Amino acid sequence: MDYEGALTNPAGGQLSPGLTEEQANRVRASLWQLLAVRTKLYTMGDSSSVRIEKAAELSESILYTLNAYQKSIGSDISHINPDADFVEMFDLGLAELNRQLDSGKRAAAVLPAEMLPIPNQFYQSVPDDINDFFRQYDVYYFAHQSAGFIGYPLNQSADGLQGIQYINEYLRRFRIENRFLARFELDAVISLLSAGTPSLEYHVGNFFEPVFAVSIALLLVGKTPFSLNIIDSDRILLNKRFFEWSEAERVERFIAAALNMARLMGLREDSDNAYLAKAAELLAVQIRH
Amino acid sequence: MEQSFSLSPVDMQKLQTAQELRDTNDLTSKFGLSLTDAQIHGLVEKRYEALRDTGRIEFGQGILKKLLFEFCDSPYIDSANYEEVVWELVDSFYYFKNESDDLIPDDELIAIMKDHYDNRAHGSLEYLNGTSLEDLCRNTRYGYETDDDTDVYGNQF
Repeated sequence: MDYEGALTNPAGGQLSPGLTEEQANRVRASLWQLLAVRTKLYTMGDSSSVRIEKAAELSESILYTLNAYQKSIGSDISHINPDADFVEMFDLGLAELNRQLDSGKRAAAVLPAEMLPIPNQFYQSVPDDINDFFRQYDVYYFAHQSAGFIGYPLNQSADGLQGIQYINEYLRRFRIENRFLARFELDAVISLLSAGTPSLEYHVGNFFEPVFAVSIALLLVGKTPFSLNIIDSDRILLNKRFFEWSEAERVERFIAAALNMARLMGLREDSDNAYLAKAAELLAVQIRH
Repeated sequence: MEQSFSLSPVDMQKLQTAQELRDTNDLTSKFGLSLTDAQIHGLVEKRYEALRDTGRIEFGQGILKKLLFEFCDSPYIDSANYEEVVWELVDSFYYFKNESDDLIPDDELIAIMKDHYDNRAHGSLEYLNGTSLEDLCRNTRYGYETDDDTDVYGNQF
């Protein structure tokens, strides 16, 4: 890290180009003061200095927290008010993050009841992995860090997010995928998943994806999606139709099939529909490639 | 032409630190020790150099004033070696903050440095840095008492 840069530009250059240089300096000075206060709290007043790496992490956490406040009022960090009380904004941001934390813990509490008995160690460890995150997560000093590691991959990764926003989004998407999988007979799901791997128990992969792909395929050839039983003649028919469609038409038909499936399944939440539509779009593009 | 009076945080800190060091002369002069403006300027720059070399960043008052107050009554410091000793102590302090994984609070480390400098190193900075403080930091990292001068088998170092 650039030592001088860390001292004079703790905001890391995330400020709006709309600010004047004087305004930007005031923001940097406010952030610097906030960093000094937070560092003193972190060290409990025992140390006047910290390693630069630690200061950088504390600085990033401050920006993350301020951004949480900005987002709660419909803005973002780059448009921060240079004349605002940064300590007050930070406190409001911290309150917002704690609200998100409580919301995440509530969602995590109901997760075990929503798990399917699929015999896979990565899938089954998701509730524990998420609880580990909440145990390790430090919202006060390292709010931007995504503590711990979740071994089970989603169809649509939340990896671009950080901290509590990451875990809450992971939880949301994971629960959507579980709601979808729960609409099928368990034996059919396990049979389909087992066909694609020598060992389902140790397989590292997303389970929503293959089930979704087969169910969409069945819908596109005019069959019920719930059997998860696709035969050769279905594949031949689908292949023929697939290459008759333009790229745009392919994506459109996949999305329409996904939304139709959501309706058949009684999935009424907008978030579920949006997730399935996105999964369909990704699938259509993936098959093209 | 409009003039900007805004100082970077670093410049502000340097000005504050220099003023604090001037203020410490009031006490240290009672022990025959004081710093000239040139020496103060050098010490302020030395602090930043030491912080840079050890990869640390410091807010607020910093430790210079505390160091001077703690060491000003040492029998091994006089007006001839005052500046030189303080320079070394600044380097040592930040170095050993790192070596102790930041487990020793500032005040405690400064007090330990003073105690070891006077009572074990007898004014030898080499002994202080090479032996006493190295042992101290090793003990701290491994969870032993900071003044434990025995090895894991109970033998005296």
